[in-house]
Amino acid sequence: MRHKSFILLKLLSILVFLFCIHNLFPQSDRTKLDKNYKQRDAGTEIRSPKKRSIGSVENFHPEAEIPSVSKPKNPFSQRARTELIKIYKQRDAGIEILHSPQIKIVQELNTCFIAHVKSGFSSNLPRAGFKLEHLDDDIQDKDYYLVYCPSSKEAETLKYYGNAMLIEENLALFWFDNKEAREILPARFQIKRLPGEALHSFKKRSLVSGENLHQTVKLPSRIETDPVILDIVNQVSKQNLTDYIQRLQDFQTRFASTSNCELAGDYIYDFFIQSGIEAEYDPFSFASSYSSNNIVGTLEGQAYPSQIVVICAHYDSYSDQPYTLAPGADDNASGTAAVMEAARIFANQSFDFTVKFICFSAEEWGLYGSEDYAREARQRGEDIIAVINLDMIAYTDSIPEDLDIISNQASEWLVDRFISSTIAYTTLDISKTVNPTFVWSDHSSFWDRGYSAILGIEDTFISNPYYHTTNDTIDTLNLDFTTEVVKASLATAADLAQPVDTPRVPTGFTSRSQIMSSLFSSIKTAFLDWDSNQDTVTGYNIYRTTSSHFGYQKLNSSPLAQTYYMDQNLDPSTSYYYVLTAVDSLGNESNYSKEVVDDEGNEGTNSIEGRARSRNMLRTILAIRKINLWI
Amino acid sequence: MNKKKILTRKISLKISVGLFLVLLFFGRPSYLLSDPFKLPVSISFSFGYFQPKEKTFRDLYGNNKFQLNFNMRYVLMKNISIYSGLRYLSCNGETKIAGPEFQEEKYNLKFTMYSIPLGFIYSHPFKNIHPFLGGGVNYNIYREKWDQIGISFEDKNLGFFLIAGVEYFISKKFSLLGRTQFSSIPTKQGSKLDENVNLGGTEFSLGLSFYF
Repeated sequence: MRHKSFILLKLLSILVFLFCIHNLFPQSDRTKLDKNYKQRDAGTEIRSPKKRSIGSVENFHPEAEIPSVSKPKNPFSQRARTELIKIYKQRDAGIEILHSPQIKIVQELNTCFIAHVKSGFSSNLPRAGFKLEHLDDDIQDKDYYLVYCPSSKEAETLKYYGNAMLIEENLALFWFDNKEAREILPARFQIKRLPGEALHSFKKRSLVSGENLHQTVKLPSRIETDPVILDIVNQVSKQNLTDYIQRLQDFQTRFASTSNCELAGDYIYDFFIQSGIEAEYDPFSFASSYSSNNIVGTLEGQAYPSQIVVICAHYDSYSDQPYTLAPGADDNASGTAAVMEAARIFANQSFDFTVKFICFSAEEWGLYGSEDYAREARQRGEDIIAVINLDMIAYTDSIPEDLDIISNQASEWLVDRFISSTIAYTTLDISKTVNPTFVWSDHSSFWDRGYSAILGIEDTFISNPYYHTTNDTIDTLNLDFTTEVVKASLATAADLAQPVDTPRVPTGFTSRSQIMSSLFSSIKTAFLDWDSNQDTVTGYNIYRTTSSHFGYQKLNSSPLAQTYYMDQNLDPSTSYYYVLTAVDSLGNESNYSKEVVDDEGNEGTNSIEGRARSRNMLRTILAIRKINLWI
Repeated sequence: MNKKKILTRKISLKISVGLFLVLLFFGRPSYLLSDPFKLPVSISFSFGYFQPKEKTFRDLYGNNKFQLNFNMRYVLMKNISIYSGLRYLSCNGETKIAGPEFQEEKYNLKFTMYSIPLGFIYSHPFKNIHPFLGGGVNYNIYREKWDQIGISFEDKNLGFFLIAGVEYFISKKFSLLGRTQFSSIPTKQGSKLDENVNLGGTEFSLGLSFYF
């Protein structure tokens, strides 16, 4: 009897143990999730670990239990249960019902919309002529992702990692409680987080798949070749692009959430500043626990500063070892390099429209950076007239390679502008694709907010075998192709932004300074010189400040005819920053040149040419003094 | 400074000057009575060269600078005199470049200094030859000016000096004077060439003394 009791007790213990195990691991296949994340401990520093609500990344393990993440409540889903549905686009359906407050369209795809709908209301849609499909019964506290699946087999694989269903050809909806898809899915999957906000421009859309939906955008059009744009295009340097890509690759990884990604952001920021572009960090948080920065450079338009042309790319990278090695040379150091080269060249030119150079972060996590930027831009009422997004523009699987330009219907006009500029200024071949389902890059965030945007990519369906691997390095790229793509992109951006016919920004601007001392006093003299502009420049203006990139004061009362200037009697303990402009015979003034600090050229300037220039400068100044004394 | 202090200082100054004059014209210490050649007060004029101690000073203004001295001595006791006077130094120079040099750029400098010494002299006569040595403090007023661009710097500072020399009496009231003086005048100011400048140096001068 006693022996039987003992056996019963033992069985009971085993049952309790099994029950506990079941609760700990509700889905047995979790143990098979992507093992790559185990290497994070050896990776780079993780940003903002304090904010992480599901434990720091160092302690993160895919098999661990995930506590619920507190998220901002969706007001749409506060009172009643909200379903996620798919609404097929149909020509003769009663579109008015989709404007009901009970429905929120959050994503447009090629054949359908994805919408939040209050529970029970969806039964009204078939009566209005819509065919629909239920995707999830309750959206509360869930993040959904659109995942690109090149084959149906891949779509089946998705189900292995969480909840997934195919909603269009090559496109699946994926979700897994409160977890980020990027933390679960293997590197080969392209993802976009499904926006929580309603599409901005939905009301004006027809519900017919593939119909041409031009927005009316009044932009001056230049069919003929513009010498200013041609000059811009000719300044694109393959060597520069190579250098930028190499430098970005050298960060080892730019996976958003790592400190290296932030360092890459700093590098881009500094580059914008050094190029003479006003730059700022645009911070945002993502995945409930991380933060990162978009890097935004702005070149203000002279005639219509409120209207903006955006040229952008994401600078973060990804691989199967994201925390340690994700060189991302093609994806997307190539696009980032294009934006940097655009900033460098455009800084020397004035435009009617404002041009923004934006490098987004956390694209690989699901377009978080661009989504944040586009949403806030819409809230600020920014008038973004066009967005050119460049993502993977350096790998060629065949020669000659063409550039694929992808747009939605509303942005098709922009593709046409891109094509006409490409024909006018480059030898590149373009392949046009109008497909709103292609949402795997940052242009999609602008589509969602009702802006016209296009994506330039080497191949719509990824052909780069090194995509999202540690082998995505510069040696696998075709930078001649990249150079042509950058030329086409800059020609289009310049054509959209309308170059102002002002003098070119002077180049070769350098400064050296020396300090003259007596027993008790010292003064500094800055010697500035620059290259002569060959065009119609009649003079130059020098501006000075003691705060870098801020508060410039003009030093000369009338434009200087010579290509040098000596700024005397300066405080030797203060740094002085200078910019230069060129002035034409009509009084038009160019943009600022790049900023130089007074002692910038102090090293390695003992060249004969430099000394000769200095002697000439001093001779002229002494002569002027003598004249003044005589007078 | 309040009025009371100023008044007190003025009175003190007047008393000092008065005492000095009384001693100068009416006083004659008793130990001098035995030495008819020795008179209690002397004034002397001398001129000579000043060699700055600091290399920076020499680089800017050269090695040997002309200077003028006017001095007074009053015999306090047998071999000890109180010593004061005025020293005037003026020199011209050129700025130097501190750090990298890209081209010739020079500005003319003018340096002027007035020094008022106050100290004691010990002298030991050997017939007509009276060697002496002494020391004290000096109060210096100096100004440096950049000619072309009008930069000017002025300040005042205390220093100290050591003096040695010899007098050769050519008569009861006149003597030829040769002397050397070492002074140190540290300042808290400087420039990119030298953070703390010392305006002292060594000087050699010849002159004439008159006793009365």
